[in-house]
Parts: sequence; C-alpha cells; structure tokens
Amino acid sequence: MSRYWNSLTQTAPRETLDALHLKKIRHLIGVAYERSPLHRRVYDDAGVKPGDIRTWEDFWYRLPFTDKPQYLADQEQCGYGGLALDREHWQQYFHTTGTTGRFLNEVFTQYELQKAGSQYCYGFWDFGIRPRDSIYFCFDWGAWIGLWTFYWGARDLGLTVLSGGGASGLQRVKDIMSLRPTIVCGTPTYLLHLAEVAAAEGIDVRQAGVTMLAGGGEAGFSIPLTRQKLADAWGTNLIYDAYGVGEALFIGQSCREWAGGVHVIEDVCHAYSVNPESGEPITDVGSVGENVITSYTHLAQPFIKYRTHDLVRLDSRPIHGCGWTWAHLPGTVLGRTDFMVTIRGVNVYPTAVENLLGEIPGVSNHYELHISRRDGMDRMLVKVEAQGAGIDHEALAVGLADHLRTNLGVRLEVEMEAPLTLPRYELKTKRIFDHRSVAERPRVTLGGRTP
Amino acid sequence: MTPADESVVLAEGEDTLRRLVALRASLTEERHLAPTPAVARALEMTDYYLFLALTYVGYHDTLYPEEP
Repeated sequence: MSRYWNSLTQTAPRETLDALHLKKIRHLIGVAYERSPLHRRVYDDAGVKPGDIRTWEDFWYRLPFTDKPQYLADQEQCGYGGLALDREHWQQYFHTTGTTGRFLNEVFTQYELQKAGSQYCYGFWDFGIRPRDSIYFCFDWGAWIGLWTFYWGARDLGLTVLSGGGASGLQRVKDIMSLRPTIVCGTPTYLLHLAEVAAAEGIDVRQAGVTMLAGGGEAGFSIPLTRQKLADAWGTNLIYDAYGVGEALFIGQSCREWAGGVHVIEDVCHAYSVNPESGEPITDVGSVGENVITSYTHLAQPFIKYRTHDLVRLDSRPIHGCGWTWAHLPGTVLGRTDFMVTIRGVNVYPTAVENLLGEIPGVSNHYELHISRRDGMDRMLVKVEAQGAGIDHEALAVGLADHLRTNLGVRLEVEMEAPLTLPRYELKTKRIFDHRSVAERPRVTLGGRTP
Repeated sequence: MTPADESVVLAEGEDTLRRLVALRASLTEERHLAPTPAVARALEMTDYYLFLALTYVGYHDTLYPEEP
C-alpha cells in the first residue's frame, strides 16, 4: 500500500507544483473578479484585470494583497465578506474566532467542507492512521470551524467518529478511558487540562491507549516543551499539528518525520512569505516573513493573496526524510505581525515568550500576556501560574524575568499566580490581551509595485 | 499556446485524469436524467467526491464542481 495519501501531488517536483499553482491562481482571480464584488472593487481600484496576471512576477508585484478589514467592511454591507456563491450552494455557517477582535462570517459549500477535510488525510495517512481507527472529539460543535474540519477529515478517511460534544471534562476523560480512541482531538491547552482533570480524579489517561493527539487553533502543538508535556501526560509521542486561519481553513499539517513544523498542503492552498513592511517575497528559508495565502478550498468567499499576519519561515524545498515536496514551515507560526511589542527598542513576539516559559522549572503552561502602553512606551506583563503548591512565587518570578531578559534582551514584568488561577478554555485559549488602542498598535502596510 | 496557457500534467496521473473527466461527463448526463430529487441529490454529492478525485490527479480546468 502506498506510503503517501496522494503521491501524484505530494511528491511532485517543485517546478510542477508551482506551474499548477499559477494555473489555479490565475483561474481563481478570474472567477473572483466575475463573482465577488469585493474582489472586483479591489482589482479595479488597483487598475488590474485578471488577464494582467500571467506570471509569478505579476502575482507578486501587480496583484493587490487582500486583508481582513476589507472583508469586514464588505460584511458590514452584505452580511458576508467577499461572497462569490449564492445561498443555494451553502452547506454550513461558521465564524472566525476573532484573534484580531472582530468575527468574520463564513459560509462553506458541501464540496468545500469535503475538500477541507481532505487536508488531514495526507498527514493522518503518513502517521499510519487508517479506516480501522477512531477519533474522539473534545469539542462542542459550535461555530468555530477548526475542529469541524478534523471531523470532515475523519469522514474523508473513514475513521470512526466519537463525539465528546456537550460533555464535561470529566465525562470526556471517562469516555476516552472506556472507548479507547486512536486519536484524541482538541486544542493543546485543553488536552493538557483534560489530563489535569483526570489526575485530580486519580485517573491516568496514559492507560487509555491513545495513539495520537491531534488538533490546532493554538501554537502549542509546535512548541517543543508543550509537545513534551502532552506526550508525558498522555503517554504518546505522536502529536499531530494542524495550522490554519479560519477564513481560508487549515493550511499546514504534520508529516510523520516531525521536523519542527508543518507542511503547507499544496493541494488546498498556495502559501508564500513576504516582508511585512515592503511586501517583497522572501525566499531565504532563514528569514522570517508574513504568510500570505491563496485558498483553493474556500471558494464561496475567495481568499487570494491574503495576509494572515502570521510570521513564518517557509522552506519551499524541504528535505527531512518524509519525501513530501510540499513547502515546510519550521516552527509553524512564530508570531503575529500585529501582536508585536517593542519594549525599549526590542521587538518582542508573544510566541517567543511562550517558548521560554516552559524552560523554568516550577512555571506552568498556563499564562497570559498583557500588552499595554504607558507614557508612550509599550509594556508587556507576563502572568503565569506556578506549577504546584509551596513554591516561592517571588523567587520564581525573579528567575523567570531573568531568563526572559537573557533570551529576549529586555526585561518584562512578571506576576506569578497560584495554580488554577487563570481561566481554562475548551477552544482557543485567550492568552494575549492587547490593551493598547488601535492607534497605538503597530501598523504594517504592504506596498507592492505596479509597473 | 504560451507557457502560461499550457496545461500542467502530473506524472502517472494523465490516464486517470482523462478517464475521470469522461466519467464526470457521464455523471453529469445522468444527473440531468435523474427521475427523482433523491436520485439527483445523491448524484450531485457523488459529483463533489468525483471532483475531489479529479483535483488529486491535477485537474485544474475549473476549481470547484459548481463552477460553470
């Protein structure tokens, strides 16, 4: 049996993949121009017609970027931003989680949901997951699309679906212990929380025989220390990460070699990295840039050359033993362009702080970062729970602050909290609280040359 | 055809692509002849999965099954 879910594209040469991308993108631009009033306005305002985009240079430098505010503004007028297919084709409604503060309404067709699900098949198959396997969902089946797409992936691959919808954490633990699913699916912080819930009841989830932990929605599955904590808590080293943005669905998936990040699933999207300020493509894999994507999955509302505001490194020719030729994102999401804080001249990204927290014994995975502006300067307060009772909070806070200063080059304010002080979340954990006004936050505009 | 207009062919998928395109044409015909809404809907959903298969072998003439 084939090692690859779809070797025809998964192992195709880079030149073939890029040629296919260009064909699809050119076609999609034409479809969007014809059917989406938003895209027609954006392209007309830029003086660009679909036929003008024939080469990669045209795509990079002539086609305008798109960004969430444009969709939100369109949503104010029409109810949905960038709508290109009418109600007759809609299958399901979702909304984004509002990482940047405002929800985007989304509708997907039945085909789009099936195609969204297909993204998971590549990685699951690579890990040896087959139709005989099962997946337990720690999810209440609400309006966040993230784990729904895992559900569609489970259906596409033929897995048995086990629902934890509406169940308490303890009930989910009991379900998992009795049903013994192959995969437990949730956000990384929730899965850590479940293990805590179990331990508090004297239940060892490592006895459930779970083969894989899977999920997304947060950076944790790509952060080495979080992965290790999950592996220790659940007794499995198979930790499957998925990366995406709610608008355009999931973009990246793990391969079994785990090279510290995810592969871009190039059957469902095109991704490339740009300098956030100039819009220039970045081809050096060592450089961090902003991930710009074009989705082949979300066609009811096209997303073409869409700014994710996620900072990534992108390796378009990865070689780490899996055999996939699809682009790889080492570290997956390294930060956000809009959550950057400049403290005494040093740019600090919250993900960098998260990476460092787990390196101090006694500091837990539960934290909040509070960004504010005082006297014209950005500040960051790190609130983090101590791990366990009987710890000298003051000494631990000083130790953590020293560690952050050594590695980031700037001292952050640290408050050590007692265990279980900070809220727990079933879905995406809210970690970053930006108390700055819109005017005080960094503004990055993308230019782009026109001839 | 200019390079920008040439089709992109995936190695080992070309024959499958051709057969699936023909299969989809037959399926489309059957959808038009469907005797009941139940049959029509079932064949419509069949088309969604057939289109997904087409994308796996590099089909790119259209991007989604509802596209004219």
